[in-house]
Amino acid sequence: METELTNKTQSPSAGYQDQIQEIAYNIFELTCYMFPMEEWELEDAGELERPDGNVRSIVRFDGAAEGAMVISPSEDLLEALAANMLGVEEANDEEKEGALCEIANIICGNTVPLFAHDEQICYIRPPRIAAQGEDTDELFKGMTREDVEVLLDEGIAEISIYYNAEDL
Amino acid sequence: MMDVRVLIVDDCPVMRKIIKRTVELCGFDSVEVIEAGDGKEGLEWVRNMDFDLAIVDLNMPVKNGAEMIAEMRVDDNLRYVPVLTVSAESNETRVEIITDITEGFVHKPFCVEALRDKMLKILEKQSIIRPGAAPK
Repeated sequence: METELTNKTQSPSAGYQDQIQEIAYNIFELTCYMFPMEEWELEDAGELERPDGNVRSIVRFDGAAEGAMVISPSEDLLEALAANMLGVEEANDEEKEGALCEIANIICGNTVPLFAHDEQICYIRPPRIAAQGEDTDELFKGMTREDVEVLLDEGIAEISIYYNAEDL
Repeated sequence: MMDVRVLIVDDCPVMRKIIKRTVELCGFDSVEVIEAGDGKEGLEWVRNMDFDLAIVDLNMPVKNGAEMIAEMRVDDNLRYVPVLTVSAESNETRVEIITDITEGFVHKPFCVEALRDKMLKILEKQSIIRPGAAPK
């Protein structure tokens, strides 16, 4: 789904969601040993716990393209992220947030070239955890937003990418 | 296998633990791992201690990996410390620039075997370990 936050013209990025989703699935698989839900499992996806936005990671980027990526996992996915990455039974809150920021950093680093034309350089800024109630739509007002949902066996992640469509 | 001392510079404690575990799986007789959370802290360590390898992330607060490596390469005492960069950086131009001034680059996401192989290759090249001495 693509959302216009202002009255800007339609972005030329209609095909980006599929590419972002593919990149994200690949990263979850390689880094956290998590796999996409099978087609037959998707029938029950509506009953899964949704991301509540309580813990989100934000990664900004600038240079050839300007914007940010926000990733919001469901509670069960957040718990599984750090546990899988570290190979532990249960991770503490600091480890969960660190794992989420690292995943956000990797997805953003691999996604941003989609928004930087002519192989120009983009700079990815260090990820951070969003403050409670922080309104990212307000923060990145004026930018185009792409939303992607990632359905994994361990839970759901919502990924939003904000960018200046005029950079493209 | 010999004893090695490795510096891991990454702002994410989770990633540092993953890299540390990979280093420990390399089968050295003894391995000492020092961790730093950003390039500034990393520089302080390399200025005060000898390392066989520095594994450096690029995207970090305070001082990023590229800045840390650039400072090392103009310092006569540090220019020969082998550096392996580990980053989600995907811009080819920037990766080329980084690769030119370091001993290797591992792109995130990576599988631990890829990181281990790259690390062992660098240590072999520096004659820190014998060729083929790496565990399978």
